[in-house]
Amino acid sequence: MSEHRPLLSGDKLNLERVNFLLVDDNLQALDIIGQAVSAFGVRNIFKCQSAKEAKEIIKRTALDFALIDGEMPVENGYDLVRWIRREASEPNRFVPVVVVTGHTPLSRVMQGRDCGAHFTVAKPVTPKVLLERIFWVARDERNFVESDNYVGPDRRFKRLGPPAGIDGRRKDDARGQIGLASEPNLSQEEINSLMKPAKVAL
Amino acid sequence: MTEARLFRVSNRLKMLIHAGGGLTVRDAVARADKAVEASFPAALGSIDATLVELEASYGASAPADAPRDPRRLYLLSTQIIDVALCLQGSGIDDGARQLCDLADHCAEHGVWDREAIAVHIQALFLLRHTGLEMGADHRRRMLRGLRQVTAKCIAATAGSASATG
Repeated sequence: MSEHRPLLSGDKLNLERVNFLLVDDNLQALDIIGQAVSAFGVRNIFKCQSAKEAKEIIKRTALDFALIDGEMPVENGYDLVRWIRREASEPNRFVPVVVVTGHTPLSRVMQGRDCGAHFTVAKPVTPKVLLERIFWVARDERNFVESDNYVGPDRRFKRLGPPAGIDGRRKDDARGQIGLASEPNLSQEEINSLMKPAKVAL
Repeated sequence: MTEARLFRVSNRLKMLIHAGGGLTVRDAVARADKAVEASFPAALGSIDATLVELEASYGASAPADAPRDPRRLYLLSTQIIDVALCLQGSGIDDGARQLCDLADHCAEHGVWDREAIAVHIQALFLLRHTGLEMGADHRRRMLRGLRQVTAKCIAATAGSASATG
């Protein structure tokens, strides 16, 4: 994943042609977020109050971003995202999705991650946070993963590599031998001099 | 281990937002902040209505034999969080999240702590009406108090579970 620089106030974003899907069973929440998105310059906003309504839009409109409430009655947002990742036709199958949720215990954040969303954001969402997330997702370069039990952006954010001496399983992981020292090891005397406590003059 | 396929997908959003023109971040956020304010009166009305329903159904003034519905309690709490932008800084969203924690616990363990729930609802009323004027320390203490109330309820559940073994 590329290094993300923070969004700067002078940065310019053009959201006019973005097809933006908003899904929330709470009409007022939908209205508030819709006002913010419209003020950002988005002209094509598709507002839905249920997963069922959202699916109708998804089947007929190519989307560029989806903001989906996690907790909805009948069919929740997490199941909707899973449906998008498995059943929707391209390009909507890979549409950037941010899940929003009011209650954020770890279990729900992980639900958001594991359903195939790009990110989870806590409600209430401020315009500033929303715009930052749109920008963040736009720059997201993670691969997509498709397997029996998960479809979505690669959930592995950290690229720490395998433990030293062990070959990684990813084809672009460094070989285990590269984990060895690239400069001379310190002698014991050098180590001792680093460890020796010394008084500091204040 | 399942086979996993890794592949790149094109990011049309990235291409669109950097197409030139558009708004600066500063202007976009300023416009959006102003635009959402138009929704605040209705949002406040919604919070007030939800608080009245919470008190009537689950608060201290609710009838003793009122139905116990943790799922509905949870839903009402999330409704407050959904539109709490209109009271940003009051702490009401944090208070409502505490009530969600308590409702979740009640649903998961089949318990019902009427007093703990009533205390949370009372706190939400306070945060709605005085949260913005309240000092940050006072607000923090109140929210810490709510966490302690929930922790006590959880401990009581754990205690009775181990007693019945």
